Amino acid sequence: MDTAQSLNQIAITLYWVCLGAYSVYWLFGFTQWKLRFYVLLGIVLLHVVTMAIRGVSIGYFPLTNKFESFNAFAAATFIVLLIYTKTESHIYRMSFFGVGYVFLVAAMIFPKGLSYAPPLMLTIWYMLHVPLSFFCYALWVSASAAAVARYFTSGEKRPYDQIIDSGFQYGLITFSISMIFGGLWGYVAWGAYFLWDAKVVWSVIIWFFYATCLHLDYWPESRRFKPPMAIVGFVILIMTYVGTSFLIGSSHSFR
Amino acid sequence: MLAPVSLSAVLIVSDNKVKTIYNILKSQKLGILVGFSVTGLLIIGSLIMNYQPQYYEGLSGEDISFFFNHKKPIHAWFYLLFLACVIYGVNAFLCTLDSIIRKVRVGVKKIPLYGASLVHIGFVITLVAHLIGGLYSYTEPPVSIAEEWRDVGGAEMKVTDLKTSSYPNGMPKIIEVSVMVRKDGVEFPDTLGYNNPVLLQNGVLEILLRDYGWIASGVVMKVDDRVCKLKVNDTFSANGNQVRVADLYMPPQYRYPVLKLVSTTENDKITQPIFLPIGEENTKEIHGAKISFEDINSVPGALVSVKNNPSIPLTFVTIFFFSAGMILVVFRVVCRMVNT
Repeated sequence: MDTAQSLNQIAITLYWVCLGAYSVYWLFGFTQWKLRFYVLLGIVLLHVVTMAIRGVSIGYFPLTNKFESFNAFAAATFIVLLIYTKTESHIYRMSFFGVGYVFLVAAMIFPKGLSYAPPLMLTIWYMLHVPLSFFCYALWVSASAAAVARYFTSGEKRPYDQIIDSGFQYGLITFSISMIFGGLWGYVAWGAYFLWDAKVVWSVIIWFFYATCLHLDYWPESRRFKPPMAIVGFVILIMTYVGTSFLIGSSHSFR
Repeated sequence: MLAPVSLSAVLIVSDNKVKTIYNILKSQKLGILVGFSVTGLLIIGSLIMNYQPQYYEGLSGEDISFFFNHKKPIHAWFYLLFLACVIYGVNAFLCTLDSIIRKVRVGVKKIPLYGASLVHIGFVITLVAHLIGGLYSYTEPPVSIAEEWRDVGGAEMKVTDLKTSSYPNGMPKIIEVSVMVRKDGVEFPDTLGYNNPVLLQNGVLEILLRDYGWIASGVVMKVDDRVCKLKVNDTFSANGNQVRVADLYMPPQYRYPVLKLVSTTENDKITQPIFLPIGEENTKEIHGAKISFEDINSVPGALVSVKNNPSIPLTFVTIFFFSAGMILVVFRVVCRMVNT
């Protein structure tokens, strides 16, 4: 067995360890914030190291197939959750965590063998575009989790509104930067910064959607629609990220 | 009887109408409504394009002229989208202008507060750039290029070298095609690869790599004991008779390269072409000379397509505004976070 295969085997074993650790975190999620923060931080660090080993084994950023993509998205979700782990609401934290966990479990179902990056992926624009998109998706998932928690909370709702607002705002900033990188990649790879391709069209859809949501503040009567919009946004996000690969044909489909 | 109406009253009424239209067009409520309309129309369009693909054959890249050249009721979503984008563009422009004027009037001097306005300017320019690119960009059919100069969209290009690397499983990794480009009488070297197009005219003209490999440029033949290096359509002499290399290919009846030879001698009795497979064992006698097809000379080559998009300079302006605006917005957000 060569070095790449050996490293990949180590990475796969560690991925399973991470999945086990995240499964145990379902219990820690209900403990006091310091404990849950450090436990999650430890698991996330292990997850990042695992992805780095996988990256070394394939000689590139580990974002070349379904397994790696879902893993990276799950990791982005857990990293953003670390930022909001002080939030009191269990419903917010665990629904947010749950989304990442579902993607991690789904990732483990896909083939995990070595898969090298095709020449078109070998560009700095890809490495900037995709991870930023995942962090932005995670921020929007955070906003939708806050919206869900808001509906189940009878007390103070301001903290949730703040999470929704910051999710919309930081998510849109991150996604806009990601779109610029994606556009540059499209230009050097296909000669077009926009394509009538399902994934690209849905990326534009989600950008317009959240850009509009961000402006709801300028119409006072419409502010109350932000929480439902955060949940609708989650549906659009899932469609953009997963639906365009499994439900709609796209050149961006997972291989 | 109609009451007499003074000119100033008419002007006041029309002025009020203009003001009302202006206020509607610069309304943020309109922007929100149009924003959600664009979102909805794009969702509808995406689903129609996916489930009725037969109506969208030929639609590629950022092209929008397709929808105007093939007017169909099924494209209604696009026509509404186009209208919505026009309103969106006007709305964003007027809102931004209004916001900047108000900030300047009250003497806002903190540059980061203008970040959002810059992003909005970038957005408006994006819409204009996409309109220009969507209507006027085009891609020329792929051209194969090797050792000889070939015309590629107003420039000439030839391949000088090809370097490739591959993964342990044999999958291609890095492809680097060295080329010479000649434009307006000036020659310069460049490299072509995936994600590495040759850019001309400030990026408006883009030469993209589609495929690469070694291209047969000629053949090595043995005529009796004489070695001849020939290209397709070259002729050679066999006992004083001229024979032309008419073609080099792999016909279905053979599993290896074959030369098609045609005698060009006047009053020649050989009218049928002769097929000469590669290899000394396939030596044939033509006009009394023993002729064999020894080898193929190959040169590096590339299949390229030329994309012409006049909106590219405007796109770079967009990126500048977006980036500058985003930096200011991020700076403002960070400052706010630090202060709180």
